[in-house]
Amino acid sequence: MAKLYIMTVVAANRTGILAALANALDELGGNMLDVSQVVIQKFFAMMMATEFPEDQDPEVIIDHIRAVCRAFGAEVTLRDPSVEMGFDGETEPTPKERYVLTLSGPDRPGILRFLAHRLAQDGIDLIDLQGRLQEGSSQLFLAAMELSVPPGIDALHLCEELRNEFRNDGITVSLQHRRVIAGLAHPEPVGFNTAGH
Amino acid sequence: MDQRTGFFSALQQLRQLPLDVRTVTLGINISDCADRNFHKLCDGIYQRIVAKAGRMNAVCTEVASLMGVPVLQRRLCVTPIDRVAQGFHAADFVNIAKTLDGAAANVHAERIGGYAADVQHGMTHSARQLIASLPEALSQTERLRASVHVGSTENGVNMEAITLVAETLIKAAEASSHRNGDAAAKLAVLANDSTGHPHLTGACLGDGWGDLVVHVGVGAAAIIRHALEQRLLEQPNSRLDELASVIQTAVFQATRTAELVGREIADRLGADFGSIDVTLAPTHRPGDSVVDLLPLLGIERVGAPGTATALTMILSAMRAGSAFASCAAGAYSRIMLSVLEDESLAAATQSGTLTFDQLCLAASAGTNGLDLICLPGDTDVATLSAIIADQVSVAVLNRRPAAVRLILVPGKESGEMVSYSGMKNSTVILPIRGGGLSGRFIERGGRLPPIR
Repeated sequence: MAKLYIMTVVAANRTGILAALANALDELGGNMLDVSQVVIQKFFAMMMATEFPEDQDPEVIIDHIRAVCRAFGAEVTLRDPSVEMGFDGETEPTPKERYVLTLSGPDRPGILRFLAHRLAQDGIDLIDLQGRLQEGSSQLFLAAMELSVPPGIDALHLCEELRNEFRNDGITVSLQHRRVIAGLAHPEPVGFNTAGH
Repeated sequence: MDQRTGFFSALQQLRQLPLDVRTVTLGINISDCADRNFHKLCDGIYQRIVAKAGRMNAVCTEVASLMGVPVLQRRLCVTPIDRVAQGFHAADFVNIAKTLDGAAANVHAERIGGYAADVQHGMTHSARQLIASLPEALSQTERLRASVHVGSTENGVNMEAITLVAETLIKAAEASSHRNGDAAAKLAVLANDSTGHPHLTGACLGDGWGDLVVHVGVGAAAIIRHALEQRLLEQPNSRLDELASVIQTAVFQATRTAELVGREIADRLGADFGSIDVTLAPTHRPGDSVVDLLPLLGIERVGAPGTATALTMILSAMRAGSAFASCAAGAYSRIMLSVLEDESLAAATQSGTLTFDQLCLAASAGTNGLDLICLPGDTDVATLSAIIADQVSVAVLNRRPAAVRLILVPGKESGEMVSYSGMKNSTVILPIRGGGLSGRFIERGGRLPPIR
């Protein structure tokens, strides 16, 4: 029997980090089910859902990965999802709509704070977030996030409200349904691609 | 310039696109409501419209909120009334018009089309009575739009019908003289509309569509302007072919979005999805006009030499973009120079830079006839007929549809200002050069043979 863990690894981003990590997992009998990797400012971070044999001790897993990836200064955390409670969506299995929200403009403190609070108010789940300062300028930022929105939220109204909030800061806001984005990004006709149902 | 690729940069390009849907038109088949009993006929039509379109307004709002794309206008169109209502008199037709108007008001549709007659070859009794009812029907209703189909490339043009419609236009204007003749603005003379092009003004549900069909119209001016401005900001010296690709991409995006919205609305209403019409038609927002695109391309004002070339380029890029975006895109993308609905055009008539002759000529460069143009109230029937006939024959020769909407403002002369309730722009009454010199030609009557 295999046991599922959620694991994060943060390390210096040098060639070979992924190879070392894959070695370690292999030696532990681990199997990645779901993974996402990102490199931010010379640091490598990876979050994954991984299965290990049930008799494998969590301490041993962490120590082994740390040892194999010592050259990269890897930090490892391991969590057991079966003992954690209270995830979003468990109690309310309603279908949700996906939107992409983009913001761009001059950077100022508190933008994300306001946004996160406003979205939480409506029960909107932020499921993907990327943001960076634009190249060649340290003042302009661009952020894109994917939202999982419960039924009954008026996207036009929400977008208008955010626009009004950020207008004075010169920040532009757009909110588009995932299907619109898909329809514009793929050349296949509507209905043949993810833009349909 | 940022050269990153992938999802993130794709988003960067997509953000801030002014995406919207200009019109959603629900076509309803009412052929089976035909009845010799007048009350049954009217009741049947009313009930059918309310039953089929009752949810349209709510569904449009729902889908607009869901997709984050505004739907600006909701319209209805029905089977041509001259076929549904047979054997009635003009007075009865006025009541049918009021029935349609009331049903449209009930379901919160801004317009209802289908009060239409097809008279390409000759006139049925019903068609004649319908045309006779127009002055009263149009001056006593608000949402009703009427049309008369006078000719096509295959069938030729019924010149006598044009004269009859010209007389009707004058009577309609007189019947609403207290509102500057606005009833005339609701009557369109159509040509080459044999299959019922669902997006022409006053359109009816043509042959060959189903019982219930959703058409969407896209106003491409805003998104094209946005795209051109972005491009010119980065590359001020872009060549025309580069700008054409920019227009093409923008129209692709607008058409795609409209298709998504339209299909979702059709789904929820249990209707077929019909066609997408991409048009350079004005909206209520300032800057949403083809006239505002010309300065970006380098033509400082509409009507200057080069206007026709620029319009041709825009139109052909629009057609390419929309055809690739969707198989449902209609074949007749066109430019509408609707003077009364277009702030920039109205301003151009006021400053005298845009004349009636130039508007007539623009018809050969992709516009769609003459739309909402105010003419002096004392224009005679023959001159008016000749103006309409010119537009119709150019369209017939070029095998494209045409719509002519002219307003003869009662009691006013060229150069005077007029404004209408419901349309925020004032315009100048444009003088006609050479008026009154074509009387003998029109008096001959008869038909223009099919174009070989």
